[in-house]
Amino acid sequence: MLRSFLYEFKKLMRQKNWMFWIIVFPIFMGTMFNIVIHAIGDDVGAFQAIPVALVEEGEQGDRGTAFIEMLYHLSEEKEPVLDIEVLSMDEAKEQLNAEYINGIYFLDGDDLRLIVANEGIQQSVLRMISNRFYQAQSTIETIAQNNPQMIPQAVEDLGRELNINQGIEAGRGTMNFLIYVKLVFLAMSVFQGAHIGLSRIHQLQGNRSPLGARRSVTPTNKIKQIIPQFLASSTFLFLYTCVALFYYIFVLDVQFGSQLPLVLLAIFVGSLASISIGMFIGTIIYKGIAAISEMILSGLVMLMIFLSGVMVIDIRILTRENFLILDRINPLTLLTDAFYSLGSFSDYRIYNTSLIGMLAVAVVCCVVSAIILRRQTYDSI
Amino acid sequence: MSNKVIQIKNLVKRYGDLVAVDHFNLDVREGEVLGLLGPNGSGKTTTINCLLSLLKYDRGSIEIFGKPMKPSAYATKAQIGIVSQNVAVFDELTVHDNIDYFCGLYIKDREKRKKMVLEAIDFVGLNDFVKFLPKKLSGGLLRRLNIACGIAHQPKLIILDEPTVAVDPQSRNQILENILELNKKGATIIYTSHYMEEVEQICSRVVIIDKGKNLAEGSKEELKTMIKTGETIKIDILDLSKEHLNRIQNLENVNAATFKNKILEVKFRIGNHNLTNLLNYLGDHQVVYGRVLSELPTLNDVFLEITGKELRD
Repeated sequence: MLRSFLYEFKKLMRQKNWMFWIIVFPIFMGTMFNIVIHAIGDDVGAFQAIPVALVEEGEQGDRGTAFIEMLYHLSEEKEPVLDIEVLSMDEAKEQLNAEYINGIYFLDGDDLRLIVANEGIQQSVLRMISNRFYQAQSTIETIAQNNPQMIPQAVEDLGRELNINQGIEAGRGTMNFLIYVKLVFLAMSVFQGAHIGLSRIHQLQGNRSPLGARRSVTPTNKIKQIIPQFLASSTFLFLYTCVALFYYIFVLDVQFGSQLPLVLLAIFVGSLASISIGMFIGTIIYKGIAAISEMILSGLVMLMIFLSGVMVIDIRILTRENFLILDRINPLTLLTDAFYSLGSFSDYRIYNTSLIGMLAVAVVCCVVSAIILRRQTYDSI
Repeated sequence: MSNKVIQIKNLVKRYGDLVAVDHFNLDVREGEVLGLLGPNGSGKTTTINCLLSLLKYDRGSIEIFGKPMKPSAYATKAQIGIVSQNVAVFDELTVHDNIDYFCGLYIKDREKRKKMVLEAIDFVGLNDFVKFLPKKLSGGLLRRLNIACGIAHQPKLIILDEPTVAVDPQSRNQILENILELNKKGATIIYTSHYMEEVEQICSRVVIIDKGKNLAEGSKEELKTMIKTGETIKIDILDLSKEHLNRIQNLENVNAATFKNKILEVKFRIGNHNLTNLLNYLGDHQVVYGRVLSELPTLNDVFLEITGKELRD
């Protein structure tokens, strides 16, 4: 088993094609993100607080109240992000048209909307704030259920996380939004690594490659061949992702403080889930040309990214409200939640739950793959 | 008679409407080199893949070493070595590591495996290339590596599926010699090919397969006696009239006679004194001739007579 693990690992280390998505992509995105953030800083000088109107209608629920609290927190910091004025809708629209304010946060019960007249850096920051609030919502709701007394602290933590005036260095031992975004890039690259798992399965299937045929006629059963492949691929993916992580730490000067071991652990568990998903897709889609399973896996990874709300936060909200199970089993969502909870809260419940969820995905995918692959014969080769 | 290593009964494999293997029967005896001879697309590789439980088949039964062959027949698989038509090695591993990897799927004892790997390297003559990656090897050396990966665990049954495709003559000869050497060491060999020369050179028994059917089987000599075609005689002649050619065509046992490029080619049916009769005719009619060449029937002639087409059609 160890011998097979070492050979699998050696093979992967000599395959350069994995470098792009796992190393180059997060490094490029992280670097570009830093450049853009610095450009914002240069553009607005010392970063003036963004004038924004708060319009309330009806009685606010827990969600609306938490959002208002967070906004005030952001306007009361030593270096405030927002300059809030409570107005009626008519007054707010008038000021927006006159460009005295950059946007309107409209709250009706638990319904939150952002209204902007045009697009710019300030508007992007306003959107980022509402988006992150939505993203953090499930975490806050979980805290509300389990530790309601922690809600004010959670909202304050979220406000602090969103305060981009604190710069890239986290300070205070917690992660801010800028660090979180980089971890999202890492999470995306971890799940692009699912293609490694797929390629390993192709090398085990007799109808996919001569290598697969040769390995299929050996007396070593598929389970004994899968396990070292799975572990070697996961380790390889983890180490490659760490290259990008260490680039963030040593080049982009991102500091994770005491959370670094937990970030590493989350990446490793994410790697296990990612590889197992690739193996699972490769196992169940074993007919037709290999490119079909590759396309399906690419589509699945894109779907995972999409549903996690990394691209459009509203999708995460919609998924959670309408397809809760999808939200709970999406390993990319689980990994970003683990990162997020590390950065924002001192309670590790969500971090632990997310890791357990990813491990469950890995175990289920691996076991099912092994069972199916074990006796797989083919209609044509 | 020796024990049966393989017994295939009424094997049928269909791809939709196409019958790739059609009620195919085959017995392979211990210690023989069996040649599975047929043109491309005749069903050789499909039969092998069914034999190895890589492919599902529609009907029939397959036994290897007296036991039904199935994907989980690990004890049986442990005694089989496969050398596929396509080179199946890892591009990222060196010659040594490739052989060690595949040998390790059969042999768990490290010391024993180490010895076997070195023997396999020596056997195929790759001693000078152990640290090379496959992409650095020539086509012939790559084929040798492919063979080493298939036989390093010293199996009792070795299946070689067209192992010399796209190989230079020198490497081909080496590969064929290696196969005979493996047989001498006790391995039973199944060798599929569409090169009749190779099959004639190394196989003790031949099965002719076309359209998935077992058309004929036996030793080379037995197969050649099954057909009517006898020897072919070629004679250098400066000039031969049409009248003489017609008369030659009417000689006893003559199947066909042609005169082209100053060469008279006469194909005979099996019979006695064919050469003498022909030379007597030429002498009696003062036809001056030079070099005389007599060729015995080949497996291609056997194939041609059985199927009505050339082996390489």
